[in-house]
Amino acid sequence: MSFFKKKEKSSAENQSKQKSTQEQEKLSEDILINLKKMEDSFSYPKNNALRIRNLHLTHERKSITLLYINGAADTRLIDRTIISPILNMDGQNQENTDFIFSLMTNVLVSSNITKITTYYEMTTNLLNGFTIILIDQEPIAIAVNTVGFQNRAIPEPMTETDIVGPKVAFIESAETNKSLLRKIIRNANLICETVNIGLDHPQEVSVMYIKDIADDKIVKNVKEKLQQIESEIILTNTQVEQFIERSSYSLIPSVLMTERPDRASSFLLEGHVAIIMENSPTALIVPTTFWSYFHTVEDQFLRMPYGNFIRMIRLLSLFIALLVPALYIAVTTFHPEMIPTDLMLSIAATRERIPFPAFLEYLIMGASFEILREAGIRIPNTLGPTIGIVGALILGTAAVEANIISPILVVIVAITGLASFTIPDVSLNIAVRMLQFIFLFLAFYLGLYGIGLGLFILFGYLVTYTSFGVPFFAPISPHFRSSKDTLTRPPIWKQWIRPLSLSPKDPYRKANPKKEQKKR
Amino acid sequence: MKIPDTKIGTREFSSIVIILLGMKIADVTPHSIYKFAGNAGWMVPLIWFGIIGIPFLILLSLQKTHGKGLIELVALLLGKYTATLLTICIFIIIFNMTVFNSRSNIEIITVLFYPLSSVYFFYILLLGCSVIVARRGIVAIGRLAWLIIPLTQVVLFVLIVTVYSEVDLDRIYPIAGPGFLEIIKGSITNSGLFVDIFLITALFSHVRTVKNYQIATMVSLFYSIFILMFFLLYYVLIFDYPSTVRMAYPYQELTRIARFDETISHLDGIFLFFWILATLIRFSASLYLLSFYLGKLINSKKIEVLLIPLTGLVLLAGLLPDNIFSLRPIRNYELKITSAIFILLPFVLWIASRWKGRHKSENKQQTNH
Repeated sequence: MSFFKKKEKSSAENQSKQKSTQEQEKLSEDILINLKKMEDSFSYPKNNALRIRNLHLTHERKSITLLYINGAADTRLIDRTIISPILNMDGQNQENTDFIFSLMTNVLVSSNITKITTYYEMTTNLLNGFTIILIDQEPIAIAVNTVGFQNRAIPEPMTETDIVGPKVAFIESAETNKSLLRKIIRNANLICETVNIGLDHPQEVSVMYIKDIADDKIVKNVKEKLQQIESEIILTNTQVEQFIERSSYSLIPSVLMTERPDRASSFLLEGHVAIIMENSPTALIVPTTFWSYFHTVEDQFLRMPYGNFIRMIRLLSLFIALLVPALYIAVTTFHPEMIPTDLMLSIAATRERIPFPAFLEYLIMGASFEILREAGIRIPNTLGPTIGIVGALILGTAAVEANIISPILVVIVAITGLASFTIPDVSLNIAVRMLQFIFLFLAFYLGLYGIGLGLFILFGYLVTYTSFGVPFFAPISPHFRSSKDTLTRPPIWKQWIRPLSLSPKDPYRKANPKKEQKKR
Repeated sequence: MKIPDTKIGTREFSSIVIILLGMKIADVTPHSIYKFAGNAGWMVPLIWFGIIGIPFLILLSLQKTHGKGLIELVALLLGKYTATLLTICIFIIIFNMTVFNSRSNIEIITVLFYPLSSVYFFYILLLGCSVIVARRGIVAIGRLAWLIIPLTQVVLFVLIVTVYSEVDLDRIYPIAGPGFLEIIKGSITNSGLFVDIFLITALFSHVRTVKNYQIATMVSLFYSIFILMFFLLYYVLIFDYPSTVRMAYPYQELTRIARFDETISHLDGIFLFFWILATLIRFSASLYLLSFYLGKLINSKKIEVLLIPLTGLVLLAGLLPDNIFSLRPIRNYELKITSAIFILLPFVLWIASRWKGRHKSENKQQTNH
């Protein structure tokens, strides 16, 4: 294995060397050569993406060629900010000034103009929606920002819904997403660094963090991991997640996805790092802990007692989703004396005519539920209501009447399914549903003892599981100083310590309120 | 500020010690204590606090001044060969202890809960699961212990409340049981039951700071003495004197009579569930300690590598006897030796430290002259 890896590495090195020579190829003074090069690289005229517009300034005796990509650039913007000012300048230029200089300073009506000297820069700028101005007798081109990609309007959050919080979600434009974050955190120290990833078509990934809070080691680690990505092309953030996560084979996620700018900014303020990318309606948050998957924004937006109440409900649901089927199987199979006698008799009576053991019953019903769930996502919206009726009718009542499963099991499956919907994070949600089946097997073979063994191994794994060096259950175990915003949360004015497990540079949000009170 | 991943803090370390010592209420230790102390068994932890606490405090202060773990301290003060000898002794002690305790746990599971299943199967499961977590290092054991300890304390509290109706305070009399002298004599010879507190002192270097270490050991010493005393008293108050002596596993008996009202009874399954979690941590810690001492003995730092063969050895040794009670005479004999070693060792170390200190200061004075 190591041999192949080395070989791959050396070939990658060669590629990067070749690429760097390609990247450095300079523009020629002859406009026709430059134009030909661009036409070749975009297969003009077979490919009608590249658009060319020639202008001629008679007084200046200059030929100018505009290049842009159809669909990437906004043509009305080009008319307004480039063509009409250039045509109007003809004859008004003072003598003895450099033509390019005067073009850039006096004529072009755009806030984002850059000089370009290589073909590589020209291609990437064109692809990003810039318009390139080629000028005769000049080895320099000008790129003007005329980006005109189509974006949808800013929507309401679809997966991380809430009642009282802001109703804003990220969209597929990195620029918009960054502006949504900047709108919340108006801080000069909010840094946005770009890292280019992907081999063939480098794509910009923005790494955002707050300079005087986030730990330098974590930021460096994130950037290094991003740079190590060796892939032809990366479509969205979710693929980035799979490249930078700790282990692809682990059931437990180590990178958090969020579609809420308010949530992302609260993470940034704690010292986490956010990764934003074009075409991804989510931000990736690293490092993560169990609490980042377990908490929702509403815990903090609601008043303290209410926030704690819903958090307790979610904790209960988490355990129900993870363990209730296993507990049912364990108790009915190994420890029937634990069930009150009357209930035991009624369970026995309903199960009398059922041919399967309780374990198989649950497998049938649990699998049906998972199928229903998956169908609910994949089904076209217009058919949506049907699936609910079919699911409830056939799987619930009919299966009981057909003596395939017992009524008590329908209750168990229903409560488990319902509880699993309360787990806010998609990754943790699926992880819990998978673990639920593992515990089911353990309970079937060993009863409560087996569930105990399973939990022991699971937690033994989780306590040493880290995401970018931060332990999964920090700041509870290992214990660190923090605002105790974990299983419960204190009132908002008591939350003045950032979790020290993230090793923030500035651990305090503001001066210690107790100390201030003493001073008064 | 970055906290190293390889060390544990106060909470984690004290959780390990509390589980190592506190779990003794749920195995055959109460039985051994009641055998010599009758219904005054609850006094034994108090006496232990005196006869183990003082040497232990001396050991702690020596560790603080020299900044070293138990084995390194012995090597420094009494020489390399004594240290090796002591490490061998401790290794044998922990090995026997682990074998005895694990086998006694297996008896509880197979006799009380799963009478139809095989001993082999449960033994492999118990040690297998423990070793999986032990292989992840003392950090994993500590963090896991700290996660679980609040839960176990809540469960113990629930247990105390649910069986409270059975308590009869008069059962505490006669207050001295078989007589104070008998109890003190028995406590001294059986103080080996509480020897774990000395064994963990070797983990000195795994705790973040000396202060963390001191707080953790003191807290866990006090707390586990309290827990032991409370439960030894509670068993007597509920089951009364002659039956406590005949009971091998009073904790399990207690969980059998626990009930909420009339409807919810037979809660022993729930208590089994939490008991197994604590038990697994206990054996993870025991196995880790075992390989830690072996690592010291053969001068190897790869403790995790030694774990699996050692676990296999414990498994084989544990499967040898037919049942736990055939091991009793050997265990009793061993307890006496263990008690003697650990009560005397800190004093010897203290004298050696003073001797060396004086020697050193004399040397200094000589060089000054």
